[in-house]
Amino acid sequence: MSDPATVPEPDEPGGTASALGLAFLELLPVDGVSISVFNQARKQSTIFASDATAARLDEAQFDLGEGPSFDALRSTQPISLPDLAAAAAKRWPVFANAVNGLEARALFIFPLVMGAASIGVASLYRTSTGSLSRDDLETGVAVARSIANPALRRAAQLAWQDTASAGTPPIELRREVHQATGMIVAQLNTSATDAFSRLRAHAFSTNRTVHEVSGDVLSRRLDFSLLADDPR
Amino acid sequence: MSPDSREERINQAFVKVADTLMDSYDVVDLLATLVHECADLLGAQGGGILVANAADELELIASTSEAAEFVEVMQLAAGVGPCVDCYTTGVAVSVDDIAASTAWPQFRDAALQRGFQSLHATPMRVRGTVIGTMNLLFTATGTLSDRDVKLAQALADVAVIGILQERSLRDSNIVSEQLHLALDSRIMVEQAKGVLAHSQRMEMDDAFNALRAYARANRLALRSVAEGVVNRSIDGADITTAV
Repeated sequence: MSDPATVPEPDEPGGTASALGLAFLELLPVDGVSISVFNQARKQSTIFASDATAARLDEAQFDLGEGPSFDALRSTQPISLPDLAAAAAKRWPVFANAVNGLEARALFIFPLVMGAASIGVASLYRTSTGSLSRDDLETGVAVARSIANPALRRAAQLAWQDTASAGTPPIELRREVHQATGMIVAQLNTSATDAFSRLRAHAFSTNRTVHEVSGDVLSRRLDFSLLADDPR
Repeated sequence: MSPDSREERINQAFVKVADTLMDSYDVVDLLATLVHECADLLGAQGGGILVANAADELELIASTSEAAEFVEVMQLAAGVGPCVDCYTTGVAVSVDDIAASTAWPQFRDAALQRGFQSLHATPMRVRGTVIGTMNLLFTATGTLSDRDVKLAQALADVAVIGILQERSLRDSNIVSEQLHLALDSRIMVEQAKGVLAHSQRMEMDDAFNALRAYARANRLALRSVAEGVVNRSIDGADITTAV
């Protein structure tokens, strides 16, 4: 084990986020799991980690800006690394170095998807090398899909508590939000993942709800291709 | 409507479900068909099928109209309306005069504004667990006859079969997997509608029908067509010509 990473404490015991993570541990032959979601400021936030190793695997990638989680997010497909050390050494040398001392030997990343958009990842590790069975992979995909929405809300709730802003916690995942995401996909010729993240970022930076901004997009009052100040 | 033609149409509804199950199975498409049939059969002017998500909240998965104003009524019925009661109690809920109801003021006002006077919500069950509700809205006050209440329940049971393939009826893990997949398909469809709304300047209602028409013409599942549109592997212009 390398230096123990701090396990995030974003959740009350037995709360939503741990229930979301424990579903993977119950259903799949893995030893640890972390769940991270992009927050409104388009930064990754870990909402659950079952142990320090899981937390470190997650954080190392986002700190370094490289690792399999990014591939899973981009492709909206799960990534299997049955031999973590070998795969990482080849493709993500800095990440490989950072997690070298951890007891994780295999890593499986499931994107949390909403339609065509990824909103975060669940990272599952095992202390021995080896693949997951096809059934296990299918189960992982299904669990990741079913927790995407609650995970996103949990992240929004945490961000809201952090900033202690007035009003009610944001994120109302109604149809308008998904329709607006689609319109932004066409406006910016980008992926649904990026479009949804920009929608949230815009709401965050203009201090409005995602639902309000979606309304402006749908009524064609707001066109993201005409926004000059968009980050990135 | 004569009893014969009615029986006939009920049979057709069941046959349609069976066909869809065997063919390119797409739950959103199927439920949209089913809720139209059901509203027609029972003389309702509007209807919607609500399914519970992982957070135990009802989400609208299919409705007789995709127009925002109608969707709003259904969403209120799901969030702060009689459908919640139907879902939590597992018993059909009849509101014979929405104007006289006091329990759900937000829903009442929205429904009345759209001209709806009564509602009938039917639970959708799997082995005693309620997974959603099928809801009918009427522009006149009054309740359904006993016979129609039973028919609504039979059609709601068909909707359940539409959501769940046979093997899942025996396995509760698969039940929730398929529910979540169904709800996610709906999200994919909404994203695709958005793409078409911008790139083809379509109205949301037209966009849904165009996606469906394209899926049928090309024997594809609605979900995969929606996914193709969002990922731009299907050209939006091709969808518009499918209507």
